[in-house]
Amino acid sequence: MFDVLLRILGPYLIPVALFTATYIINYFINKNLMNTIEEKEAKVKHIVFSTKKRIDPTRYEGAIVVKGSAVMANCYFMKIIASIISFFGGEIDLYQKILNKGRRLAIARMLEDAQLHGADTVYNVRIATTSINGFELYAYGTAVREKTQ
Amino acid sequence: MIVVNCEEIPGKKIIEVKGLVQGNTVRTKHAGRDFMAVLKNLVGGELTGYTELLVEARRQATERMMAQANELKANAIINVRFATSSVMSGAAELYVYGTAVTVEDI
Repeated sequence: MFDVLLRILGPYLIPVALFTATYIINYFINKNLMNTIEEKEAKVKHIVFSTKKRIDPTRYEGAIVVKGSAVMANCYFMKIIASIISFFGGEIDLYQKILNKGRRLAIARMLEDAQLHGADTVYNVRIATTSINGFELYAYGTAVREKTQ
Repeated sequence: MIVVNCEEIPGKKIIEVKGLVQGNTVRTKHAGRDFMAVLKNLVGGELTGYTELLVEARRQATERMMAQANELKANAIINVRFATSSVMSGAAELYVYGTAVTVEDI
């Protein structure tokens, strides 16, 4: 009985085991990543950023481009799940989550860069996305600091 | 050299527009890094090797753009935009462009 079952399911055992293992590891990596993002965001909470283009020249000084980027992995198990979902059509939740995480990380890194330059406001923030063996999220903007009287 | 991605620089006045300046670079990481990325793709998370590569490459592209602005005798670049495209797996083209201008204090 067991022999027959093993012969039928045998070829699928290793892929299924790998799939489950990577899914579990991914869960912990994502949890860790969330902690890092929240830590970074808490440090730069005081910096205001917007997509506003015009800077009041009488109030601010020391303009400089600040940037932050993050490359997120495009996991194999995500590809498998996404291809199953796209057969029926609909929203691919996994990709949306990973892209949002990457975007938050990129913005946090950009704000850290601004903090390094002693800036308190970031104007004209733009966010770009590309794919190289994964997804790259890139955020950049103009950091300025308030004029000291 | 002042580099901003806004249309004006606070505290400065634009007195002359010198024209468009640009810089680009196509870069890859060595095979070892690519292999590590493949392993990382098994479990997910961030690909730090590629983040590093892109930061480095973008800096080089920006330097090339600034060198071009220097040749035009400009002292600032405004309205800077970054663009990226992947030309093959593991290689990326970074393209930076902006407007070179001469500014002076108000």
